[in-house]
Amino acid sequence: MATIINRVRQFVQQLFGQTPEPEQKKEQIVKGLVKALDLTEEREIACEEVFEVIDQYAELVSQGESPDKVMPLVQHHLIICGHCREEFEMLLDMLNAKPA
Amino acid sequence: MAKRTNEEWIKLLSDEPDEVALMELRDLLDRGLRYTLSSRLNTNLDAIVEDFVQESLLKIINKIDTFRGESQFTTWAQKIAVRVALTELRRRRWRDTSLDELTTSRDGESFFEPKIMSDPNPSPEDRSTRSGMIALVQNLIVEELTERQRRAMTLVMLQGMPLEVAAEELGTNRNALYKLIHDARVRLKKKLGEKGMTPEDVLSVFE
Repeated sequence: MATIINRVRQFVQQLFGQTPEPEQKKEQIVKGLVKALDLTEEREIACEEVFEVIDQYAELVSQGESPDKVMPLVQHHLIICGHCREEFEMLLDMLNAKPA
Repeated sequence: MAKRTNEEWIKLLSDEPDEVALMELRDLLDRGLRYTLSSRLNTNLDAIVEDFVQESLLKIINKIDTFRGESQFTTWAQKIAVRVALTELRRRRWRDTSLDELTTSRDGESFFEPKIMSDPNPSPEDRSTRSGMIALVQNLIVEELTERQRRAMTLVMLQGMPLEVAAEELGTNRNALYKLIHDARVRLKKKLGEKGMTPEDVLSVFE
């Protein structure tokens, strides 16, 4: 379904000339990249280090602890890394699933 | 589901796993995945959740020796199920997107390539313009990053390729790929600073 929708959208964009110009595209890229630089710290932990503790972190957050206090490096990684953030949010969801 | 301590779970699932405990864990993962995926996917969950649960149970049993007991066992098991499900879903999403993009041009794809450099040394006046700032950032990318770093950033940050897929493409793993891109970000930020600029300065030009 997503494939068909994307193809229709591309066709409409081509028809009405709404595809971003290369210069606009470059601006988008630079802004995205520089926003990532703004968040960059010399010391960051990587995905597997986060995965090691994400169960503890999720339990603490679901108990109402403040994310920036319990594990600040994990919280920072979750801001930078969309993949790990998605995994964390899904785990929180699962912890909240009602028992059968 | 019976309330068990972590030690009880480990004992029941090690060696020859207890069938009742295994079934209860299976139900927990199935219920959790259905709950979280129902709001994320517009598809028949029956067809995919069963596969995710089976694969997760295999991984959990195989890795049970690595559980350190720092969370509830069930939370640890659920994080493995989340990783299994999302890794597969991202691969599928990327496969669909990639097929779509075969029919379209990808303007951003060559952004990190040296050949498109228009002005490698913009003057201070040029830096106040958008095109001058774009040239400055491109110049930093081309001069300061390795080819491998540029390739990694292109795949992950421009094309949105899932980390696992990009890692395979580059012959590495997700963790090393994150570190490769982190090193590149740190270097670019440092070099920007050496030119007397902060990320906020760059962004202000585009506001």
